[in-house]
Amino acid sequence: MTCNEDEASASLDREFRLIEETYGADHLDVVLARGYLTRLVGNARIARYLEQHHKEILSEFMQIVEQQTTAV
Amino acid sequence: MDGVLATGHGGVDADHVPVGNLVGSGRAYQLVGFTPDRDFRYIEINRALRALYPEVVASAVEQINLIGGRVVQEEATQLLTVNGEFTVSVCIASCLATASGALRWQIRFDTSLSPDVIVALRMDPENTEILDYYILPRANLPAPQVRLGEHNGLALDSFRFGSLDHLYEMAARVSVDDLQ
Repeated sequence: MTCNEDEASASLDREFRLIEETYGADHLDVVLARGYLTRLVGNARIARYLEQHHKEILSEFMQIVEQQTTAV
Repeated sequence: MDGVLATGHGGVDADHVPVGNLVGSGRAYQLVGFTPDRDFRYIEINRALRALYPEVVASAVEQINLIGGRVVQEEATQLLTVNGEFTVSVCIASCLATASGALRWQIRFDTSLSPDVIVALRMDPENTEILDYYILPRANLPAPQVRLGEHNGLALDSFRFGSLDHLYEMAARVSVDDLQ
């Protein structure tokens, strides 16, 4: 193995360990974020406001919310 | 032996020993001098685990309330809805040893409830103490029934915790003012 390969491999290990540290908590955060958005767009007044003023954001939110029901 | 069973004068009051206890501990068999082929310890273990379940759920509800979260507990299913935003199903994964001595834990949950998060308690090999906790998003589970080994790789073991503190943190609310 050349020196560069060693470095690359060490760097990959570091990246992997970083991901490992936060992988679980990050996925649980996604659950929370999705739950929060579901409640947010489930509020008729908020949904109407987003519809009128931030249409793109609402459509992004809707996509995230709909993922929840299709995930098995 | 006759006296024990017929009248209870032999020190055991047969009329007043609940049958469930007798069967569960295998004592009924001991009393009549019979050694069953089957191991009845599992009945006692299952009873203890069933008793543990409401304790764990009640304590989780209490802790979430303490941290300022709002929990609704569905009576029939024990499904917890936290802050109106995510649902949690608690399951106790008892420990089984395979023929080769490897330890296995079965996680089961009701798919019809579609919980967002499954909290699985892994029991120790004696099934008397809680070993650790898996706080798992349902979306990360490959199937409704998951068999855990001692080591399960990043995809599952990243969700392994020594306590339920992470779940309580998930339920905690932060004032918008504090974010600025």
